[in-house]
Parts: sequence; structure tokens; C-alpha cells
Amino acid sequence: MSVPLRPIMSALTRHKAGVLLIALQVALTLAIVANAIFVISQRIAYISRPSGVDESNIVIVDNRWVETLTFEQAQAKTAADLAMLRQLPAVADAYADYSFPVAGPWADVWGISLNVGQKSPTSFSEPYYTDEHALVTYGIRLLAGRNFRADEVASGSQLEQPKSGPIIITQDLAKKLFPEGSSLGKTIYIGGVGHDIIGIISDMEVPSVGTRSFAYRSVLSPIRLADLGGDQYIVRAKPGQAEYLRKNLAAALYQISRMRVIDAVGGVQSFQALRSKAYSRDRGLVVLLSAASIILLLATAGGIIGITVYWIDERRQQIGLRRALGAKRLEILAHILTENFCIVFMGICVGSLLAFAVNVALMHYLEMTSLPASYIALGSAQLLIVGQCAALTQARRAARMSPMEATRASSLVNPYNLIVEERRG
Amino acid sequence: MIAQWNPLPRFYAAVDVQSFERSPQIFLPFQRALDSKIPTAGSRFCAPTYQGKDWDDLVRSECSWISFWIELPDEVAVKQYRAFLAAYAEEQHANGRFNWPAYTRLRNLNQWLKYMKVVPSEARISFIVALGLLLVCTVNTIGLLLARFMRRGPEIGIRRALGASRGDIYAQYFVEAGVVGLAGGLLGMPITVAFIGSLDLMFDAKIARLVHSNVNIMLLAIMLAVAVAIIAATYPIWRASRIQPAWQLKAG
Repeated sequence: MSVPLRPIMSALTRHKAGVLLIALQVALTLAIVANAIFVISQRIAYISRPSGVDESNIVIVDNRWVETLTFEQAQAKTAADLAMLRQLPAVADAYADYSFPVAGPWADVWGISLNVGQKSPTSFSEPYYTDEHALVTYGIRLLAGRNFRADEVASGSQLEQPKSGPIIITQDLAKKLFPEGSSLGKTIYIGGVGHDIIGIISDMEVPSVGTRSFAYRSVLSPIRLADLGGDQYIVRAKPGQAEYLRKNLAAALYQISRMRVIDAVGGVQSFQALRSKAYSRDRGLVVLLSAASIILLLATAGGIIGITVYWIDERRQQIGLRRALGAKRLEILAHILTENFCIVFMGICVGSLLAFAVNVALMHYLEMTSLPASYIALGSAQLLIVGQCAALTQARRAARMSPMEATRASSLVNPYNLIVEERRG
Repeated sequence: MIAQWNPLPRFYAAVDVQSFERSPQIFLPFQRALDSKIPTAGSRFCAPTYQGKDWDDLVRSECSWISFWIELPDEVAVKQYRAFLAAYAEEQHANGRFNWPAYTRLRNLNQWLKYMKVVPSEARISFIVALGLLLVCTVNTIGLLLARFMRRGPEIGIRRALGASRGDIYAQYFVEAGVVGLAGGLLGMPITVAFIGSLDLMFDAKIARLVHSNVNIMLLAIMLAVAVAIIAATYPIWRASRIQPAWQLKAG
């Protein structure tokens, strides 16, 4: 079986407007879909980043004091709360912080330098204000060195930068600061103040959700936080007890003191719920772009079906004649599919360039990286498949036509031929 | 007592990334808040050397934690205020209060919102995607209408032969395209309502709350659908009107 390319080409040149419209639609679709898939895959990778902590067992309490407290009072009240929480049978451990991984409401940013006088920091990082309980509370592994001792932890407020002393950093930050050799025991400088690295922990995400360049460069600073307005209590439940704690923690805290506000809805939430909320925009974008891509591909399929129906109707007699002269059904099918392939391929060629152009434009307006060619290949493959499937639905109808029916005089006249003749005349 | 006051985005809370929260319920004179030592809940930016703990320390510190909004009557006043700010910062620098050169900016509301990147990038991507969809669907409509109108060559030929002018053909097909657009727009209404209703499944509830269907938007959407259909029909109709009645009748 041979596919006659010459008749296809001459047919295509005769239907210039229709061919160009479909090719243009394919090109635009490819330009959008390739970029959409790229954004989707980036966002999915971003959403599914592990936070590095024991997510399923962590519950977070947003505790707000209602009284005007001095620092010492806030400190005592926070300590009493934490002591009570740690005593609860369902609690594995707990500590107070101003924020927590990924979904934290706030984030401080620290520049970390290797020397005192360094102009620009070697790396940025975001701190946690922790005590000796933080490692167990998050369930982070200590890869080297040791945890803070209780006597190394000083009380402080979030505004205060740490005085010199021990510090624990993540492996990612350690690798950035000291690419060769161990960072354990080395001194790093934050705001001109030296800190000795006493421990290296497994990678744990920083508090702010949008931080992409230093996402795993967290620092644990030995500051027992007691903010005047109140803090977040990060509580790790014993396995299977997280839901129980989520429902009962507020009541337990109110028993110690009623002079606080724990929001009835958002006051106590599971880490997973907070994490999911933090990524809601990204998830929304993934859903939106997926839906838009599917609609675009369907619209293109619809366009191809519409124009193929027309072309087949227009060529009923020609198809019938070919069948009568011995052409097999498969040859008719192949003819129409090849025709479709040529059009879609034209569209893909233009669309690839257009996709890169759209990408460059997007890079100007949005935080986008350059589009890898593989996404264009993926989009092209989708369009070829959609195009062939769309054409196939109609091509099968054409191939089923019996030679008799097709050659029967039809009232349907080919207006394109008329126009061609008109031009010739 | 005042009526609900919640200008969205909440420009004054942009620093705290709380531009789309619900409205505050209590307003205090600033001095009263200071006198009663109410703890701050917003962002605070302090120098690395800051060692304060208490509320009193914060109030006396060089930390920045207050946003100032100024209402200026006209351009001249803006210029004067800008000059005043620059001179003040220069003076403080000269007095040794700040060890960095003066850097002052005075932004109006829109410049401020832009500077704080209050509009999420997702909203901009959505807008671009919507434009792309509209463009592709327009091209699609041109193709479909072309096929539809050309198929009816004989009909056009007969009408022309019976005395219809080109203008009559234009009128008939533009009306037809407009009706197609109107039908599409009306069909789109329930889909739009359903989509807006489920927006909070996709977006942050705070953002989703900003979008609700109203009559104006619906009318605008229907008008857009009709306009796009008519624009898309222009080329197919021009082609259809070129059909020569004689050829059609002869062939028929």
C-alpha cells in the first residue's frame, strides 16, 4: 500500500485557508500547552517537596496571649504551657517557635558568612528558635555532632539576634558553606557574631513557603522563644494520636489559663492541613492549567473534525471513484490520516518556535525558567495523537463509504473548485 | 461605629502578606495603642545588632515596624514631601543616626501594590491562559464557520440568483454568526457559575472570595462571545459572498 503524497499536497495547496487555520490553531495550542505542561510539572515537583519533618504526627497550636505581658511573664507562661504539653500521655514532645516548616506565617532571613568582615553572605538561611526538644518534636535525624544541651539554650525574643554560641544547621546548608570537608566545629557568622556548628541535621525545609533557592538551608538557633503576643506550639503526637490532640489541645491549654486566644477554627491544626493550605495556590494553578490544556486539545480536535468532515463530504465522488478503481479502505484511511499528519506537522513546526517565544515573554513577567525542548516534544506528541484520533473518527466514515454510494450524483458541489475556476477565468 | 471597611487588597497590610484577609473589627488611635503597650503582630525589621526584648525596647529602637500613610493634596505637595523626606534622611545620616546613605522612596498606592507584588503570579498566569484560550477558540471558530458557510455554496448561489445582493448575504451570515456566539455565551453561563462556585477548591479561600458572579460580568461575557463570533465570521463570510451564482446554478 502506498500513500500518494502528491495528490495530498496538491489538495492541501488548494485548501489554503482551511489548512492554514488548522495549522495556526495547532501552533497556538502547542505554544500554550508546552508551556502549561512545563509550569504544571514545576509546580507539582514544588508541591511534593518533602518538608523533612514527621508531618503526619505534628499538630500546631497558635497561642495568643490577651494580657499585656513583660518578657519575663511571657517566658514563664510559655514554659508552663510546654511543661504541661510534654506531660500529656499522647504527646511525644513539644516546643515553642514563631514559625514552622513550609507553612509558617512568618520567616526571618539570616545571611550566613564565613568571615566577620564578609561583604555579602555565603548563603541565606531561615532560622528556627529552638530548645533541646526541637529535634525530637520534628523527628529530624542528627547526622553528625550533637543536640543542644538545656544549659546552652537562652531565653529570648524573635527580635533578638543570637549571641555567640552553638548552632545546628542542615546538611544542605553545611554543603553550601563548606563544600569540602566537615563543617562540624567550624564557626559561621550571622550579623557579625560567631557561632560554632555543633550538629548537622537531615534536610528540613525553611519556614517560608515561597523560598526556592535556599529551601533546605535551615538553622536551629538555641533561643527559647517567648514572644509577648504569644507563639506557635509545635507538638508531636505519639503515633496515631495526632487527631485526638488536634481536638483536645485547646481545652488542655485553657485549663492552665483562660487569658489567651486559641482560634476555634484555625487555632489548632494538623501539620498536613497547614501544609496543604500553604500550597493551595500552586495546586489551583496545576488544576487550572491542566483544565485549560485539555480544553485546548479538545478544541483543536473539534476544529480538525469539523474541517475533515467538510473535506470528506466535498470529495465523496473522488473517494468513491478511487474505491471503484480498486483502492482499499485502508488506502482511503491512510490518505486522510497522512493529510492530517502533514497539517499538524506544519503547525508543530511553527508552534515550537512560538512556544519558545511565549516562554521568553513569560520569563519577563513571571518567575519562569527557560523551557526545555522535551516539553515541546511532549506537547507535539500529544497534538499529533489528538490530530490523528480526530481525523480517524471521520476517516473511518469515509473508508466505509461504498463505491456505489459515493459515485451517486450528489447535490453537494465543491465550492472550492468553483472558486479556483473563478480565479482561472 | 462605622460601616464595614475593607479595601481589597488591604494595602496597609501588604508588608505582612495579609492583603486579602477579612476586615479588621476594631480601630484604635495609634497613640492609644502605644499607651496601652499592645504587642505588635506585624513584620518587624531590626538591625543585626539589636538586643532588645521588651515592648519598651522596641518602641525606643531603630527597628522599623510602622507603616506611614500620608494623604497629599496635589503633585506639588508630593514633590515637597519627597524633598522633605530626602532632606530629613540626609540630616539624620549626617548626625550619625544611620551609618548608611539616605535612601527614601515615596510611592503612591498603585506603585506600592506593584512594589509589594500584591497580585499573585497565579492570577497573572490565569489571565494569560485565558487570553490564549480565547485566541485558539477564535481561530477554531473561523475554521468551523468557513467550512459551514462554504458548504452552503448552492444556497448562496440560489439566493444571489434570485436577486439577493452581497449585502443581503453579509447580513444573513453575520446574524447567523451572532446567534451562534449568543448561544455559546448563554451555554457558557452555567459553566461559569459552576466554575466560580468551585474556585475555592483551587485557590486560596481568601483569593476565591474576591471573585463572584454578578450580572455585569455575565453580560460582559455574553457580549464578548457575540463579538468574537462576529469577528471570527468576517473572513468566512467574505469568502462565501464571493461565490458566483452562475457557477452554482450550472453545477447544480
